[in-house]
Amino acid sequence: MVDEMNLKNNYEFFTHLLKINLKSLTSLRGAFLLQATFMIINNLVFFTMWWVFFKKFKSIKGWEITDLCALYGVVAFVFGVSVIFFGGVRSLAKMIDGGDLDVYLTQPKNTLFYASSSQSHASGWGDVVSGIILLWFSGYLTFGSLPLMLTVLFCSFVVFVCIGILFNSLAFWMGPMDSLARQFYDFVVTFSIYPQVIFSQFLKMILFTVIPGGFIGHLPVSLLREFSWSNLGFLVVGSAGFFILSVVVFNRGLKKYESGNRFIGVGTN
Amino acid sequence: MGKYLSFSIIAIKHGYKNKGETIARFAFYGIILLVFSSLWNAVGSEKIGLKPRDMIWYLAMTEWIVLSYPLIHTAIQEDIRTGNVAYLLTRPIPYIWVKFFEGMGTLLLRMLILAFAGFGFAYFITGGLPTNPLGLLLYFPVGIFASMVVTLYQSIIGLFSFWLQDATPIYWIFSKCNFILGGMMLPLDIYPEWLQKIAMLTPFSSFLYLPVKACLELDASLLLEALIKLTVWAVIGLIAMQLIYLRGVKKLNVNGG
Repeated sequence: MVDEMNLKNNYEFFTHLLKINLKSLTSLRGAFLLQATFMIINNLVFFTMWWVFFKKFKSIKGWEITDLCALYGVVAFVFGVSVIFFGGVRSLAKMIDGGDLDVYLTQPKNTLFYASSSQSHASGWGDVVSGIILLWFSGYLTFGSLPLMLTVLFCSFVVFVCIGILFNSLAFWMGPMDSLARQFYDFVVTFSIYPQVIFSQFLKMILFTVIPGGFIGHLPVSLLREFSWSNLGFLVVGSAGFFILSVVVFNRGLKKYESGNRFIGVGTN
Repeated sequence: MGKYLSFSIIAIKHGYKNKGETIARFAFYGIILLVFSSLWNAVGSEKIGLKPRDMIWYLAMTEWIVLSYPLIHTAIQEDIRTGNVAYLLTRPIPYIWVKFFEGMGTLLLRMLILAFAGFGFAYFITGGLPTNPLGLLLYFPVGIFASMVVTLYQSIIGLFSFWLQDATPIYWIFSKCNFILGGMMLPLDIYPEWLQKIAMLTPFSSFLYLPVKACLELDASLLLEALIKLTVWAVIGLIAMQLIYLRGVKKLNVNGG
């Protein structure tokens, strides 16, 4: 009963925070539209590289342009949703090192949840829109495939957010590593947007462990191309594993956290 | 000139201390080359008339520029957003030139470090030098010149913060144009003819494709074309930077810092 109440409270809190973040973003309507629109252009222009590529090479070990379209669509959509809902994850290392978690620790809410969802980035909306456009063009976004699509997108989203928490949580032990955490994040995105059929077995293993881009792009799209219960199970278990690991690591780190002795307000960005 | 070079030297010293970021760039360089060598192994670059080895060297050379140039626009937009620019404008040297020379310092340090990374990774992955090894030596000064011009355009992007507050969206488009029209990942030769023509009319092909191709193929006429085009784009960039800067400062004076 208490858990149910807690869940309901957190849900209500989350929706309120979302509304505030959205209000904050749209208060500068011009900047919001500019960022979102340019991000759509950015993603679609980037994809033209693959269009040029597939004009010359019809497929990469069985992967065609529609599959690449789906891969980009999944990664763009998941990236967008994660920075809209949990934009604070990218700043966690900075908050930890700068002692900025104090403001969240004093609130009667889950610290990780609160700090992660305290920021929202306008560019994420552009990612979401371009993700949907690319998924639409891939041909995999149909009414029949919607439940599977939503499931794989959700799992991919969980892994993506949790990787961010894991990398950024290292700041509890390693101190200033904001820039490094962002670079790690970029590595994951870089590996997520290439078809993993091109990699050796050793690299594939890395892509499901150290730099788990495989869970974000490759596995979800493989399921859309050809469904298998074992792959779905692997994706669900993988995302659950990353979720548990990220929460455990953050909470362990929080015990080592040193206050910044600062009084600041919770801002939305 | 000496006072401007001092800003470059300070930026070099600052960059030297930032080892974490350097290591990350080093690693990222290797990862990109590894990903694309896997891609070319999978599809075979012979189909586009390039040996797999030269294809990886091509990528190493374009990436050397792309991973080296500093994101000056973030520094400029931060100064404008925080209002620091109001204090920096009172200095007896133009603010934009300070930023540009600071960027030059960072650029040169990165280029020196990443030259080892690019050469090392490309050699390790391909198992040898490109078909014309002399081109690598030639590329060293040419690549630095091209990077300086890119840095100039980066400064111009930063100046848009006077109007937009956040110039990052313009940077996204700039970087993707470098990607596509500059032929960063794929040489322009494999593009459809109409897209090649468009790319050659933009500065991006002069930043990356032309210098790299000229050096890789040791083609004197192509190299001359690359250098002339780079010089023309540098002059256009310098004039544009000065004009935009003056208008931006005027706008700041009217609206308040």
